[in-house]
Amino acid sequence: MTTPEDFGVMGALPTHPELLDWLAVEFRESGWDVKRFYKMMLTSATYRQSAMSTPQKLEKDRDNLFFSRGPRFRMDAEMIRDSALRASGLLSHEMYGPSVKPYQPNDIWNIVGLPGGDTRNYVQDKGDKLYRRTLYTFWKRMAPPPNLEAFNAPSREVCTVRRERTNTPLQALVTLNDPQYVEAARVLAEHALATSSGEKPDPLNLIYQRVLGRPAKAAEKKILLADYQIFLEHYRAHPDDALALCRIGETPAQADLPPAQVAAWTIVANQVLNLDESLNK
Amino acid sequence: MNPQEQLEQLYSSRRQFFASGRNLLGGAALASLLGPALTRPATAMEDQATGPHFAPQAKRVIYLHMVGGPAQMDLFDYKPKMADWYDKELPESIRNGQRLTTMTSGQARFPIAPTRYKFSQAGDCGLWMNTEMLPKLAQKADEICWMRSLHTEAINHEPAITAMQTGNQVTGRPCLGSWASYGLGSENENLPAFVVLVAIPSNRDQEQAISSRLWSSGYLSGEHAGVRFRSSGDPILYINNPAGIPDAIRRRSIEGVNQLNQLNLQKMADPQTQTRIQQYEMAFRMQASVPELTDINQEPAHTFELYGEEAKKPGTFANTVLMARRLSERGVRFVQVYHNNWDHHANVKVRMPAQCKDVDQPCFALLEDLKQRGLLEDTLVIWGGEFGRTIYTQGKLSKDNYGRDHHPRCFSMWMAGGGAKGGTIYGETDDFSYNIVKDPLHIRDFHATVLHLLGFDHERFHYKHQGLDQRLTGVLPARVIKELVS
Repeated sequence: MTTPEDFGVMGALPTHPELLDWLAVEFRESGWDVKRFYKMMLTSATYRQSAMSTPQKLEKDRDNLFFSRGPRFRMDAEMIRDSALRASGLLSHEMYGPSVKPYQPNDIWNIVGLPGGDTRNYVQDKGDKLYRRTLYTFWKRMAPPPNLEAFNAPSREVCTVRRERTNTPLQALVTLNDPQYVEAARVLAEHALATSSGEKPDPLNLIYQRVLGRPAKAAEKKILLADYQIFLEHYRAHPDDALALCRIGETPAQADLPPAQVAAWTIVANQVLNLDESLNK
Repeated sequence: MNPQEQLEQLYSSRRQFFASGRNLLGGAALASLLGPALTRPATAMEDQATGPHFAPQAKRVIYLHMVGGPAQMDLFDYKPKMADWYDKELPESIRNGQRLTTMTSGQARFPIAPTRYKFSQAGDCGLWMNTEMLPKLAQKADEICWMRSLHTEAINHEPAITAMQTGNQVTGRPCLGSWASYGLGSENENLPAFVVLVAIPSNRDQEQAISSRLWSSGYLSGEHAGVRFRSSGDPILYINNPAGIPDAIRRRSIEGVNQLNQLNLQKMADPQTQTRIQQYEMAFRMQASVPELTDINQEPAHTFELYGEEAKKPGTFANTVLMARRLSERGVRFVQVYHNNWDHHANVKVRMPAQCKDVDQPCFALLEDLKQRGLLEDTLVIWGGEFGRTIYTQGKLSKDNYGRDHHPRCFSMWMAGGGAKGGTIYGETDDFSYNIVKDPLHIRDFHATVLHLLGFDHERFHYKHQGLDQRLTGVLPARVIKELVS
């Protein structure tokens, strides 16, 4: 069913009407237990299929309407930010309370706000409030947080059942350049460096483990370690660049780590956070 | 054949499909008229119309929206008889029971406020206009298509601007710029097809709120939403590399990301991965081209003589319009400019000169500049607000000063270049500039006409959404005004 926001005559027809009927009856018969219902669907063979596709599958079922493969889609705006914060270790687990104002470029509110309005000037928060889950981010409907808007976060003017999932260059610019993501990459790099100082230091695997929950494969290592060498040479030759990069974000740089290495691993961590695999469910 | 090759074959057959679709529309001959941009699929645009219905006269649009609603009778709609009506009551036969906004509906009187400005005739077309405040623009009178009979239903800014740009007062529809992006795609691989610039007026007394929903793509895919270029900070949000990351490092890092994404594409065969690879390449190209684009210091001295010294100051209307020209020149399909503070409920005496000073020379300069570059003939420039203003004063009236409330029943706009017929004066209002007496031009007709100039039949240019073939002009009658087209 591709139009969950519209089950009426204007909506698309369901691809599996019998299955929908069966699910409805099952939901009712099992006492309207939402959690049980989710669990049943998430543990089903259909849902647990590999998301891997083939040209045949693409030809016969391009949009996966017939569930020829498992679900694979770009995460929603909030999830992308949360997962970067989580991988870096910055994520605050505090719950409840008023909204927070994390990093935002200048002149987002000012340009649209009414004169004298109380949300004309954006005053960024400090400390842990920069790392709360994205659902706590303050929302000004006339000028939503641009790093979320880029990833199709709805404007919150009307209820949105189905979000758009576009794939644009502006999204790449957010995860490459937004201080929130650069800082997350740097803190992740520091963590990877600091905890891999033993016998076999392997920061790359730590970064992969944190972001993707798996070690890097040989082919991936080859590409990223070659990149790392180039980055490291640059930052050894340009210590000012390394310091400037390490200073992005409110979390202070770890003084005991060599800045050139931190900077080079920051770029690698930024690369990993930008992988299609990382941005997708 | 490996999966990667098979995937590419799938894409190429899709391209062939679209290409043949164009041929079916009689597009084979169009191809040579439109140049390469329109005959190849726009780069990495996933959701795209199959091209225009006929050869467009306008390949690009610069839309200068005057937020707040400029007072037509103080600018382009000359009402000499009103001089004798000073402080007299607006006749009920004219108002005719019309709904007023709550800002003046409580007024005890509706005294006529004749314009305080000097009008004279401009050009061979002889348009009577406020040459006192707009002397430069007046020099372009014969290149401009003047429209004095626009009308709309909306009486407040937000719904009125929304209607002006999307054809409907209710939010959620695509705006004109998004339709242009969807219909014609991008002409430049390094820049978005639809760019929004918000100018900062020199007087900010009565600005109206504008918001990004005005340039959202509505039910069209999000890639057709306007991308706002900013006058301070990063011109495009997050376009600049963070401190400490030079271009060479960034290039290397994006190449690395894309190599890894290639591995992923081979394994998962998800077409979205292919798109993401292209989008990261485009992000890098944007990063490389935008600094050059926004560096107006490269402009020669005579540019600033033309646009005025204000053009050097980031965010001014002059600067914004110059930026609009630079964007158009580089193939940006639609540039939407907002200039605020035209909402003159009071103090016309101070606000109107500030507004006119902001726009007069830059509008002249833009038309002149486009003409000199040979771009005017296929670049449509549009100027106008979301509604008009009342002939009666809001608040205190003196010979010297007055205010004007919103008025949807008639207002003036102009357009030039891109197939608009210069020297045309279209439509007439009554002596009070209150009701239209000749050639009404609903905003739907205006939209139909602009789409016509862009090569689209507004009735056939639609997008399937909620089971309907949705159109910019909606389901109510709309017509192309042939008199406006050269």
